[in-house]
Amino acid sequence: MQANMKPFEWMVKPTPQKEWIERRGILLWLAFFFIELGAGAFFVGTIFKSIEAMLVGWLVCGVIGGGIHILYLGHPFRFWRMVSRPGSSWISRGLIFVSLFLIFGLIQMIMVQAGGASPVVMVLADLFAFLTIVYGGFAMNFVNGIALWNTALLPIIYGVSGIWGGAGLALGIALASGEVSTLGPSLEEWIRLLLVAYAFLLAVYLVSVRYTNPTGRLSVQSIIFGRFKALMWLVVVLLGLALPMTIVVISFNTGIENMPAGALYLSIFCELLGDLTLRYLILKGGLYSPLIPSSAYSPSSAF
Amino acid sequence: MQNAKREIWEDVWLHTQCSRCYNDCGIQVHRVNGVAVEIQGVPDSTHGAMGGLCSKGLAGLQVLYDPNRLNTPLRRTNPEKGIGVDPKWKKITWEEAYDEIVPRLKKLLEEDPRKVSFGQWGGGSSPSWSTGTPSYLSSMGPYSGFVWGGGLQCGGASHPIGGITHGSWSVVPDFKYSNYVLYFGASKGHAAGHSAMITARMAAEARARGMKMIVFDPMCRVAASKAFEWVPIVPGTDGAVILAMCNIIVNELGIIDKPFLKMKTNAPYLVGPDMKYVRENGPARGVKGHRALGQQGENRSEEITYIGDDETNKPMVWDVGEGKAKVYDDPTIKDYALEGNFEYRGIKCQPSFQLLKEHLKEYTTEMASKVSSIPPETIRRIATDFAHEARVGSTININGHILPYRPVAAIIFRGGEGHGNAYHTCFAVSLISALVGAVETPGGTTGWPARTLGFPGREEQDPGGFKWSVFKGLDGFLQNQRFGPGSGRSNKDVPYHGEWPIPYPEWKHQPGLIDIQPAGRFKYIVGGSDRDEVWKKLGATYPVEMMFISRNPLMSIGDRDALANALKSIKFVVVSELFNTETSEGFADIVLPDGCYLEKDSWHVGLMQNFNHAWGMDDWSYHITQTIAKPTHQRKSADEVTYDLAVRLGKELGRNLVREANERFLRTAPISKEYWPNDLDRYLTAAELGDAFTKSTFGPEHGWDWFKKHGFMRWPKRVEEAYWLQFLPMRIPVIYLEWLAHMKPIVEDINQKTGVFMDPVQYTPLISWFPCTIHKVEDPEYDLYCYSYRDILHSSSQTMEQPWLDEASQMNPWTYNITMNAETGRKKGLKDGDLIEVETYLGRKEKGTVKLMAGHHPLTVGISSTAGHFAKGQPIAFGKGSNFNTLLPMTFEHTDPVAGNLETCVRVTVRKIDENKEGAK
Amino acid sequence: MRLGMVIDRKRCIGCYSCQISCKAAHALPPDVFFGRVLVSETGTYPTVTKQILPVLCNHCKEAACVKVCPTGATQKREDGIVYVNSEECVGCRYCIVACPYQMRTYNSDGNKEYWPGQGLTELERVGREILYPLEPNTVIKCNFCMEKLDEGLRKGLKIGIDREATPTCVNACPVKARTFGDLDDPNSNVSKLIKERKGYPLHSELGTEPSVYYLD
Repeated sequence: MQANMKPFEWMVKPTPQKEWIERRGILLWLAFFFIELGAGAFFVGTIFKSIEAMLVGWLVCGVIGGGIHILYLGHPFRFWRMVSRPGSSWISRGLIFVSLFLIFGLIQMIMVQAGGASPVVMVLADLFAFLTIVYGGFAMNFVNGIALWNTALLPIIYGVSGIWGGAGLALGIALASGEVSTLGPSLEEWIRLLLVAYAFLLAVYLVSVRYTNPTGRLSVQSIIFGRFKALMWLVVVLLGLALPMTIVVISFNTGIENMPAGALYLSIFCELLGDLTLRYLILKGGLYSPLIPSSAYSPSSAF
Repeated sequence: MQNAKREIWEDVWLHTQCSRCYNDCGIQVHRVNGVAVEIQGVPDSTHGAMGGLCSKGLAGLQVLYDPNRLNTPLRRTNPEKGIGVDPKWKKITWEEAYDEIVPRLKKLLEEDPRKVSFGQWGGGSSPSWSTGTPSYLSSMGPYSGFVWGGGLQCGGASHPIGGITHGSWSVVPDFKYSNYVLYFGASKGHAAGHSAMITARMAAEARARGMKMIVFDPMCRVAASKAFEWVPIVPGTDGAVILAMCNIIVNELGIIDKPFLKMKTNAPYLVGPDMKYVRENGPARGVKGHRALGQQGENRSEEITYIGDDETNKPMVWDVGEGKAKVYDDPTIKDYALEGNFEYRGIKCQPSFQLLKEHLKEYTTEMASKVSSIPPETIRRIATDFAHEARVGSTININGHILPYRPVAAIIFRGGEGHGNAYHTCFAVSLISALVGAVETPGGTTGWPARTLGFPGREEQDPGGFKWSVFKGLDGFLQNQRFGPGSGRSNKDVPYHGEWPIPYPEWKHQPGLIDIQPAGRFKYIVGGSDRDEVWKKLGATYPVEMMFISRNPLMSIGDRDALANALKSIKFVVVSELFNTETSEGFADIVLPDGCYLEKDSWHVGLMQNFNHAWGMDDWSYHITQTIAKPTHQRKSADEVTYDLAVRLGKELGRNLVREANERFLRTAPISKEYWPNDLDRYLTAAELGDAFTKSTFGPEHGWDWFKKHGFMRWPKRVEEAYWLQFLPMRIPVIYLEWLAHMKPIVEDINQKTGVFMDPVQYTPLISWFPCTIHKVEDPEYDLYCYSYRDILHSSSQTMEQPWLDEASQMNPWTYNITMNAETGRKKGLKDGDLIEVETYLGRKEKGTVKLMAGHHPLTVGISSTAGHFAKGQPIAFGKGSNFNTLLPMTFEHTDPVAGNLETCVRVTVRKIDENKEGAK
Repeated sequence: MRLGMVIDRKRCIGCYSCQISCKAAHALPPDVFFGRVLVSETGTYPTVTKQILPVLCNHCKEAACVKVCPTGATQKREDGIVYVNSEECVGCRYCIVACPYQMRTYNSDGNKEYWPGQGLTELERVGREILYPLEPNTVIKCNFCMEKLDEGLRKGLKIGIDREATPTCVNACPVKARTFGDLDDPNSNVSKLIKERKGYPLHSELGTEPSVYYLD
C-alpha cells in the first residue's frame, strides 16, 4: 500500500513511520528485539536458576542488543548523553534500565558463581531486567501520532513477548546443556501460559487499535488484510503461534522430555521468528494521520 | 561543528530585477564572499509582491550556479542535425566563433537581408527573458515573421484585443475594487503569468476583502482552487457561455450601462445593410500607413492601408434629441440612439448596439449549456450576479475624482483563448464588461497602465523616458502610443503604433501570413507541418538561411517533428543560451554562452510596459538590473555579442554600425540629447546608457549610481493615469467588429485565389461563438480534450533544471503527471501511477504517468506545460514529466482564421501501456 | 512570550515560495525541508475543494520532541521556540518518530549535491560552510529562523514586524499568508487573527498545543 508512496502523498495520506524501520532503522528493530529477548532470558534464568540462561541473556541484551543500538545512533560516542532526560524520555529511562540491569545482572551472576547469591541483588536485577523488557513498548506507546503504537497494550505485549521469548531462549539453552529434564516441564508451563496470553493480547491489541481512528484502522488493515498479510498470517500466526502451540499440545500429552529435540528447537526458533516479525510489522505498520484532508477519490489511488 | 566557519569578507544585499519570467519583479540578492546566496522580494516596491517572491524567482540562484551552464562557445562538428543526433560539440574561442559567423552574415545581408532572422536574440528561453537587447542589427533589415517559441501559444488574439479594448498587452481585474470576477482560462493572481507577483498580492488582498472569483476552467488547478466557484467547462466553449450571459444581461435583465455604451464605445455607430459603418460622405476609403516588419521594433516597415477613414469622413450616429444623424463626435449631440431603425443619405441603418442585441438572442442559455457542459441554471445565476454586482449607475470618489464604480470584471487568457475561435471569444470577454460599463474604471476590467504623465517634476521633459499614453485614433477609437514586446521603446519611428487601426488583408506573398491575417501577430507557419503546401499556395518563399535565436521552440511550440524540419531547413543557426537546450543540441551550428540575468546590467528591463507596472491606483515603480555576479569563464551576454558583431560586421560592410545602433537606441529610449554620451562610436555599456536614461528621466541627481544603491524609484500614480478612459475622449470598438466586414470579401477573394482557407464565417462583425477543430472530431475513440496549463512552479522552458523547483515539482500531484478525471480514469481501467499513452486523432503520441483527480472535467486530460525535457545539457530536467506541445498539430486548419493563433487543445485517446514492454521514457 | 505563526489558507496559493525560500536561506541539502507545501483535494466532481496546506514545525507548547529527547538536545526556549542543539544530539531519531507532524529530518548526508554527481557548487559550499552549517548525523528542523530573530532583537527590531526579525518564509510569501508574533499577547497580530478568524492548529486532539495556527 504505502510501498510506492509518492512524495506528494506524504502526510496528505496516512504516512508510514520510516525512521525506526527503514534503512539504518532496521538496526533499531533488531536492537529492541535483542535487548528485550536478552533481558527476558536473564529474567527467566534467575527464576529457574539457570546461570547459562542468565549469562546468555545478559550477553544478548548488553552486547548484541546494546551494541546494535549504539551502532544505530548518529553519534555513537555521544551515547552517554542519553541518560540526561529520565524525567520525560523513555529512551533515557531505557538506557538507565539497561545499564542498571547489566550492572546488577553482572553482580548477581558473579555472586551466583561465587555461591553467595543475594535476594536483594536478584530482585534489583530482575526488576531492571523487567523494565528493560518493557521500556521499548513504553517508548512506542508514548508516540501519540501513531495510532498503532499509542496503546497501553503495547508495553504489555512487549513485556509478555520478552519473557516468553526469554523463556524460549532459556529452554533452548536447557536443551543444549542437557538440563531439559530438570527445567523443561516448568519452563514449558510458562511458555504455555505466555503463548496463550500473547496470542490473546495480540488479538485484543489489533482489534482495539482498529477502532481508535481511521489511521489506526488502516494500520491494522495493512497488517491483517493488506500488504503485510503474508508476513502476518504465515510467519507470525502460522509459524510463530500455531506451530509452537501444536508442539506445546503434543508435548503436553507426551511430556517434554519425550519430545524430539529438533521439534523443540524448531518451536523455539519459530516462536522467536514470529516475535521478531510481529515487531517488524508493528514498526512498519505504524502510520501518521494526514495533516491535510483528502477525501476525494482515495480508494483507487495507487496508495 | 564539523564545518568550521570560513571568514566572511563580504555580506551585502543588492537590488536588481528578476528575469525568470517576463514580469521582471524587483528583487534583492544576498551576496556573501562574492557568492549570491539568497534572493528576496523588495518590500517597498509595487513592482512585485512587496516583499514576497515566487519560487521561480527564489530558485534563480540555481541558474547562476548550475554546473551545466555553457562556459565557452561551442561548434557543432557533426554535420548531421536532428533530434537525438549527437552534435559532437567542439569548444572554440570567441574569435573562432565570430570568424564563423561574420563572413556568413555579411554575405547573406548583401544578398538579401531577409535571409537572416535576428528576431529573438538574448534572454529567450534562458531564464532572462527581457534583457533589453537592442536589435542593433535590425537596422540592417533582418527578417522575422514568426515567433520562434515563447509566444506562439501566447495571446495571439488576446494581446491585440487587449490593445484595442484597453490599450494594454492584456487584461486584469481592478483587484482593489472588484467584487465579482469571471476568469476564463486565466491564471492571473496565482503566482504565474502576467505580472505574476503584482497580481498575486493584489488578488490575495481582494480575496481577503471578499472578492468572489468565478473560474471557468476544465481543471481545478491554482486559480480554480482559490475561486469562490469553480465552473468546469469543455475547452473552447467559453465564448458560447459568455455570449449567453451577455444575452441574459441585455435581453432579459436589461442591465446595461447606457451612458458608457453611448460615450465610450461604438454602440451608437450606425451600421448599414453592408454591415459597415454609415459615414458622413460615403464608404470608408482606407488610410495609408506603415506597418513595422518583424518583432522587436525594427526600423523597416511596409506601406499598408488601414481600415477606416480620416477626419473628413467620420462614422455617423443618431442624435435622438434632434432626430437626425450626426458624426459620432459632434458636440451638439443631445442623446445617442442605441436602438431603432434610421436612415441617412438614403441608407437604412441601425445603431451597432441594435444589431448586437438582436444577434445575442441566438445565444440561449440552453445552447451554451449544451456545448459547454455547464448547467443552464449556473450560467443564468452567474450572469445575473454579474449584472447586479456591476452596480450600474453608482460612482466612487477617488482623490476627489468622481468615477463610475463598476466592481465586476471578466478576464481571459490562454486557456480560454487558445482555440480556433480565439478572436471572437476574446472580444466576447471584453463585451460582457463593456455592457455594464466595467471598463477602465474602478472595480472593472482594466489593462496594465496605458498612460503615464512622466516622473513628477519631469513631466515636461521631451522626449521623456517614462511617458506614454493612449489617444483618440482613427474613427474615434483607442490607439496606444507604445506597445508590444519592445514596448519600453517608443515606436514613434514607426507609424504603426499599436493594435489599432487594423490594416486591410492583402495577398503580398509574405511567408509570415501577417499580410493575409493582419488582425493577429503570432503565426504558426514557419514551424508548421503544412508550411510548404501553404507557402506554395500563397506563392511565398521563406528566405531565412541564417538564424540567431535564444529560444527553445522544440519544447515550447508544437509538433516536434514539424519544427525539427523547419529548424533543419535553416543552414546556419547561432544560439545564445545559458544551457544547451533541445533546440541547440539538435540544430545549432554555433552555441554561445550567455550571461544570466544576475550577471548583467540593464536599465531597460524596468521600462517594459507589458507587465512591469501595477495597475489601478498602485504606485509606479521603476527598477534597474545590476550585476550581482560577474560572468565567469567565457560567458558573455547577448547584448555584448551584438556589439562585437556590429564592430566586426561594420568593418566588413564599411558602415559604423555601432554608432547607428547607439543613436537609434538613445533616440528610441528615449533619452534627452543633453544626456547623450559624447563618444557614440564605441560600445556603450548598460551602465552608461542607464546613467543617461535615468538622469534624463528622473533628474540629474538620480543617475545610475543612485539606482545601484537604491534599486528603484517609486512615485504615486494619478487618477488620470490609472483610470485614463474616464478622462480622455476615445471610444472602444467592442460592441461591433466593423473591420471584419471590410476584411471578409478580401479574405474570400484570397481563399479563392490561393486555396488557403480562412473560414469567412468568422469574419463577421457580430461577436459570435464558433465550434473549432477540437469540437469537430467525429471518431468516438478520441473522446478526450487534452491541453496544457501553466504550472505555478514553472515558466518558459528552463525552470525544470533548478533542483529546488524539481523537488517541489515532485511534491505536487500535477507537474510531472498527466492528470485526468478520476471517474473517467476508472472507466478506462486506470489508476494513479499507471503508465499511459496519449494519442491524438492525428496520431501523435506522448507517454506519461497518470494521476486521477476529482477536480478535473470528465472530458479532459491535462499536462503541465514545458515538462518532458530531453536535452542532455539539462540533467535535472531530463526525462521528467510529459511534453504536451509535441501533441499539438501545427497546421493552418488548427488556427483561428482571423487572428491566426494556434489551437492549443487537441482531441486524444488515452490508453494504459505496459511499463516493462514500453520501457520508461 | 510564545512565538507563533498564523497561516491564512484563503490567501495561500500554493506557490512553494515558503518551502524554497527556506531551503535557500538555510542552504538545505536535497530532500531536506524545514517547511513544505501539501496539496490534496476533497469532495467529488464537480464539487471539489483543492486543499493547500503549507506546513512547518509547530513549535508545540507540549512538544513531544522535547519530551522524548534523551539528551536534552531538543529544547524549548522561553519564547516558545523549539530548537535542536546539534552538539548534544546523539541521533537517536526518537524525536522524529514522536513528532505527529513529521517535521523533523535526520541529516544523514550533508554533502549531497544539488546536481548529483557534479560536485558541490559555490552556492552549496558557501551556504553550507558559512551561511548555515549543519551538523551531520543529527536531527534538524525549523527553528522559526531563531538566529535571525535573535540578531534582529539585538538590533532593536520588532519580531514579526521588521523583516530582519521575521522568519524567512513569512517574508517570502508573495500573498502575505503568513503572520508571525506573540501568541501570549492577546493584542498581537497573531492573537487577533486567531480570534477574529477562528484559527485552528493541526491535530489539536493530540494535546501538543501547536504554535502554528491556520485560517480558512
